[in-house]
Amino acid sequence: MTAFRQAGLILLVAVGLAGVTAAVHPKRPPFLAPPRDPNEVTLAQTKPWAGNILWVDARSESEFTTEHIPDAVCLNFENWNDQFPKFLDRYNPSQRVVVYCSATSCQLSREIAAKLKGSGVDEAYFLEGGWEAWKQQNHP
Amino acid sequence: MRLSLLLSLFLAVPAFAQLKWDTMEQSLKSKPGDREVVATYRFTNTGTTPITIDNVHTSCGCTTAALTKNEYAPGESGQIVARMDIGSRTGHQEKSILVTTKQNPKTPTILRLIADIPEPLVMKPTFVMWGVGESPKPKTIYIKVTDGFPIKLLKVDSDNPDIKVDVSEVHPGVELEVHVTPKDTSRPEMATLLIRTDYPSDNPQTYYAYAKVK
Amino acid sequence: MEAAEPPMNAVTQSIGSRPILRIGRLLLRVAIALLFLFAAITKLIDPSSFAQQIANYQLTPWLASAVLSVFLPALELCVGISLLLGRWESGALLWVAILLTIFSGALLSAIVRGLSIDCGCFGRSIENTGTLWPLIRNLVLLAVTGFLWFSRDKK
Repeated sequence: MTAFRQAGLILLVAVGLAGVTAAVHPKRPPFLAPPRDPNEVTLAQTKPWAGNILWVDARSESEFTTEHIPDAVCLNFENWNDQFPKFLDRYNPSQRVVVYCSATSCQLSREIAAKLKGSGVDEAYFLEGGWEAWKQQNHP
Repeated sequence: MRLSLLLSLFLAVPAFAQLKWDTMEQSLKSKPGDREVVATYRFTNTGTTPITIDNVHTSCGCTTAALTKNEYAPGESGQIVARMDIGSRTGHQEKSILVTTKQNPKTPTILRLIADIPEPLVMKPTFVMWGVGESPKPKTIYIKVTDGFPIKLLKVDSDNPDIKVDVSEVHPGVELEVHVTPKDTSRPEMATLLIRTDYPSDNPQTYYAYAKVK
Repeated sequence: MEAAEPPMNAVTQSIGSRPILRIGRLLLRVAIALLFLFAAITKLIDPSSFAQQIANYQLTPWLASAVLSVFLPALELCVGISLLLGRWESGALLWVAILLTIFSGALLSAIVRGLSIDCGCFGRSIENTGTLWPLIRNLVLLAVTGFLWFSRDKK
């Protein structure tokens, strides 16, 4: 049997094994959609909150100054003690807070949202896709 | 489990990397009051030709990596000094530094900086709010000292006499409740609450909480 | 001996005639097999988190990551068993070579792209592989694979 034939057979067995795993493994991944963090929201999900949303920019001050979501407040780990009181000036408990940073791969928004939650902001979320996603939708 | 294990097993590397690193991963613990975490990564050019480091890129704006020069002759040693700004970060932090050389651009080195930033005390919530006109009932901030931190003195003050604080010790030195009461809520008010500790003794830290009537 | 004998037969024959080399070859084959089996089993314990790890590289849509999270370990398992038992060895070695190429490309791509997004987000998605130790390990693997390939019994 040639090497290719053998490789093909191995592939078949592997596919079979994979299929069985996918069907019965208790820790199989959800195939249709990735597991979502309950605190993550898409831009579409924030639409109904318009008017009662407080955007938080977790990026650096220089990135914030260059351009940010209108009415966003800057809050990052570097200047938290200075910026948090300013956040509190803007915040009221009836609002939903949505934190964003550069892009999907960025973890800062998740971390800042978690810190806000720990501080007592119950409705703190982070934006999937971040600034990039917002920019795409609002300034194509 | 370890995608990296498999990936590193199968990384087909076409050329020899000449830089030999003393260590590529460093784990550091910071002390309360530290502003940054610093790690030094030493390397030597063990090849027979000069090496040029043309890019040092960090995974976070909070981390800088400095190199004194770019060219290293065979046998020459150098170091990359990485500094991670702590800011208000707490807990486990992992940052990466990518080092690429002109000679081997396709095989960069990834240095890792792992920092454990302790949180001597945890406050929840860190702010309390009343609406104007809302009944000025006391609201509570819970303070808990983390295990392993010998904080003996906790003093809480308000910088605004119209918003008072009253501390009750659930568990002296370990668990406290700060009851915050505004004199009245007829107009907007703001107070910064200073939680002063005696730890660490060479640089006692003060933590901040906030009270607002708005 | 015939004049134009393929080099592979010469290697196979020289091995066949020396028990020490046969044993050495067997050990190397088993070593790689065990490596694969270990890699496969550790991933098969929790395909869901492996899927997340694949997704973090942002090279594949979610469905592909999920499929790969069960398929890749299954393939590794089959390759490992095949090498362990010495059955379909040629086919298994072929897969080793294919996987080698695909994974190194993926890793390099992820390294380069992942860090060009400047926002403090490397996280745990890509763990440190360093260059020296994996380099040695991979060169050894490559050499062993090549040796096993050229010295295989053409059954």
